[in-house]
Amino acid sequence: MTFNLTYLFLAVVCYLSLLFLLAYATEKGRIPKRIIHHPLTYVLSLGVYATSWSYYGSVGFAESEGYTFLAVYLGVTIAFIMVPILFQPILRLVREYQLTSLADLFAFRYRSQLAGILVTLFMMAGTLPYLALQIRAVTESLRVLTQEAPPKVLAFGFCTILILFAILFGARHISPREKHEGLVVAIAFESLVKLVALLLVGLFAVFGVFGGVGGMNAWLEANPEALQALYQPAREGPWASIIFLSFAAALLLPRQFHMTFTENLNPRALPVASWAFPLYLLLLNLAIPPILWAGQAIQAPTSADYFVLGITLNSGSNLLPVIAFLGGVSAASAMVIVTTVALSGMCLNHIILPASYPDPTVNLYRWLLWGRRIIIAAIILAGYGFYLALEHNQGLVQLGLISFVAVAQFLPGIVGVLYWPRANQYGFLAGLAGGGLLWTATLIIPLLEQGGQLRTGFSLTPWLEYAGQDKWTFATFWSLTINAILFVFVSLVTRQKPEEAEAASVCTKELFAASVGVPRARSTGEFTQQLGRMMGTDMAQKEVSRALDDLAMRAEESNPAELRRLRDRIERNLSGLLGPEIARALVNQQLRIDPAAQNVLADTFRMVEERLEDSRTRLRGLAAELDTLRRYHRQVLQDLPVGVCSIGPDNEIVIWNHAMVEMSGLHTYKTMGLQVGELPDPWGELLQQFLLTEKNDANKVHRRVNGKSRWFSLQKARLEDIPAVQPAAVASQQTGIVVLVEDLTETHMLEAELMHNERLASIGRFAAGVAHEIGNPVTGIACLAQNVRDESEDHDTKTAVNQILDQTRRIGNIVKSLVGFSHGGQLDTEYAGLDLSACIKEAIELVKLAERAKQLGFDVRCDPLLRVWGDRQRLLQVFVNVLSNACDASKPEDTIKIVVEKNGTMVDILVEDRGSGIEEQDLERVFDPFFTTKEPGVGTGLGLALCYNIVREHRGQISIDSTAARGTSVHIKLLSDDSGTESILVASQ
Amino acid sequence: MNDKPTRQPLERIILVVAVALLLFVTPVLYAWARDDSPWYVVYLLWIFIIGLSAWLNFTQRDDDF
Repeated sequence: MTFNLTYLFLAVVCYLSLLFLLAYATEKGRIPKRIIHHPLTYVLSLGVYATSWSYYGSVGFAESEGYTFLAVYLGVTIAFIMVPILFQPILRLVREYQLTSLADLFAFRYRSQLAGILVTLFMMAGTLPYLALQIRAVTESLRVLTQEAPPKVLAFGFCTILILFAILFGARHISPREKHEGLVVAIAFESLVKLVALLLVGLFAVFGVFGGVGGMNAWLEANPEALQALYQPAREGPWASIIFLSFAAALLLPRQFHMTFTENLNPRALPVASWAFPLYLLLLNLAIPPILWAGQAIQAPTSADYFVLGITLNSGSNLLPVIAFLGGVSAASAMVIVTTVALSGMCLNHIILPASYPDPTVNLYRWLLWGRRIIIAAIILAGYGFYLALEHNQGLVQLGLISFVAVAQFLPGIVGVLYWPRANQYGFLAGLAGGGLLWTATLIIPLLEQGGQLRTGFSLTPWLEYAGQDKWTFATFWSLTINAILFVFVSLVTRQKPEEAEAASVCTKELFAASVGVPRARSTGEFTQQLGRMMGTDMAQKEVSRALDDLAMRAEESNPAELRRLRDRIERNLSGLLGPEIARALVNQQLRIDPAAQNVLADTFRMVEERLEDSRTRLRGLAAELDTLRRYHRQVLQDLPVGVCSIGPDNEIVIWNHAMVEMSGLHTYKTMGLQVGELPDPWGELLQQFLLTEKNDANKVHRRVNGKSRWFSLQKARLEDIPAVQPAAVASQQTGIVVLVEDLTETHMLEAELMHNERLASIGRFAAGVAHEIGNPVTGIACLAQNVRDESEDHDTKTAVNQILDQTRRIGNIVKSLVGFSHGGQLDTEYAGLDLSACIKEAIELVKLAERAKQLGFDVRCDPLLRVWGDRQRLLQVFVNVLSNACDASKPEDTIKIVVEKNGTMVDILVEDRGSGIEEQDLERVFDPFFTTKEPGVGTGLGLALCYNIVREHRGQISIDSTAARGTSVHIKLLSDDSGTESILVASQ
Repeated sequence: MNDKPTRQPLERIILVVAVALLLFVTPVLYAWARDDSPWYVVYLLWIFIIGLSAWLNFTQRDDDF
């Protein structure tokens, strides 16, 4: 059976159109997110590992090397068992530092642009022939089905469609934060297609060719050499070497790295992939032996590499060969698309950008996007060029394994990234160069010699005979041995740069390094301005805004420690766009660090805290116990009811506990890292002044906080031994200080009230005595004076006696007041619910009897239904006193405002005037008996003291707030009629 | 601190890898890769390793690593 070439090409176009449609629907949100982010989608997208080599070549490989073909997948299985210790740390680094490729990862870890360039070139060299292989697999499969050589223009057409797809769905966004969901879903679909196609062909082999499992077993019994040919190479061939190579490839192949890490849509899918992806590979390979045996049984008219197609030609079905063919197309196209997208990022970041960074006037986003798209086209076309050059010369497996040995050269480097902080760029570059040379000598030169492209006379055969190894084992062993030896030796004899040591500590998470220094730029605006010089203002604005959003930071932020975090975030984000080395160079050049500013300790603490929080459940044994102890101590410190503020050697705030936050209203994250003097007043001034004093304590320090008087007690202690997180501080004998701040305001108020009550009590006793002692003689004087007036006829005498009587009445009034005050309202009180509005109005009427009050306005805002519980006469006395004082303080035409509000079980009464106010120093004494600010003889100084007593007897509160500028407010709180406290008041009578 | 003493994910991963290496890259290979072994033996061993890996995954907590 043969197929028409046009018919097959149309099938390819239709299949790829379906792929376009799927990717487009995904990007447009037509496919539910739960499907896109499902672990199964991720697992299937990893199926890009299986290329046309797996799809077609596995059968040919099985024929020549038996079960050795399975080693290509067993290594992957072993690698995926180690997902938690191998893949997850890389995923964490890639996501955290916005790394897009293996070249980015190495350039970031080894802080070397050269490392990025070398890795990119090596990847290109190892992968381009592999790309050619995929194109060849498609054209060869066309040849098998049509029985004629397809024109080269078809291969070119296939490449053109792949270029379009890769550009449209693989280079849609330039930032790695925006994933290419369309690409992921399309690749997952391709994996599903090739699995289904291969299983269908396998089922056809078993049931269509052998007539069932029994038939196949019978054939195997009749042909025991077929099974022997599978097992024997596994025992004798390069089985272990290929397991090792595929172990490395699972992690390091550009397409695997891209789908596993860069396009990972759901980090939680990675653990699922640890078993599901090997299961996918197992299913894919389950069909290979039956297909091989079916091809051998029917003597399919193709090479074993294309038995997958060859046996279907005997099926009598038109559909099965086309499905099998499309399975091959899906395997090849997925590999070409993903590899090209991955390589394009590497080329752009590590070859093009370092060579020609664009002018700041150019829109860098567009430049990067189109640069990447052009590179994608160039790589696929280069693959097409290789296809033309290498056509028919090599088997499918040959080029695939060469590529595997190439990427295995990165294995020592990746061990250095994850587990060896001492490894440095010189060791990495030396190892890679040594391993690369051996790879070229043992695999590339013989390949070119074999193909006739190179004639050096060099032959590997004597070496292989001497070592007694096959060429894969020989090349793998020696290239990696030389690579590893050079890597370790050079790393040990050369010195690591400080920035490399910092990156190493970040990668291994074993050591700790805090960002040192603060940016010179003091605002986010300066960040934009400085970055704009290199990338244009628009892009600088977008990048600064993006970093601010990431950190949930305000654009007005000016805290140096926060700006340092912003700088680090910008560097990470730019790393995703430009690669880690260019991003670092750009940020270092534009956002310079101030070497003089050292707020390191606060940052160090914060970073240590963050790191420990991050690794909380990973700590084991003693480390976990110590961490628990640390948490306990930190909690004690944080929850202390006393404010704790620790100040570092450079005068920056290091600890600011919850009590300090409550007292000051300043959040910890805003104060950490600030210089003490930079704290807002009164805190900056209070602490700084206290730090300058020689005494270690200060008691009852008065400050006004938010317009209210507060009293603080401060204590300080010098920290002689700063923890080793900042060795420089210890070395320079610098010390920190811990300050304890206690808010004594409540205690002070209670003390004042107690003193006031004591004064009232003693004055009450005194007043009772005075009233008694003075009252009796005065009554006697008044009686005698009346007698004299009645008996005397002399006008002058009568006048004088009247004056005596006036003075005795005045004395009598004072005595009455004293008696009232001394009795404390205990007598003749009658508690009941009363109409507060009426009471206030009556008080106003009484006050208005005075001439001065008639010139004033009274603005009463009181609900007429509001009732309070109390003695009407005594409360009237309170309001008359308070209103009289307000009248005395007010100027003519002023208005006195009385606002009454119900607040739960209490009623709040506010009497507010715009008068002369009370001086701050007098405010504390206004409730003291005999204290008055009025002229001598005008006031007795007992009014407010009496009010205070009456209100307290009513279980209420009275307070005064006043400033000379805005008058006086008297706040009175009384129990409402419905407060249910009747019994309390009655009981207290 | 909430870890039970028996929870040792790293050790279990190493154990599963060791079992895989033992089966596939040590002389144990000669025991199952005999000429008279059924053709599917290698797949059974493979699925056994995948099963162990799945078991590791299901018993591992999100924050073990």
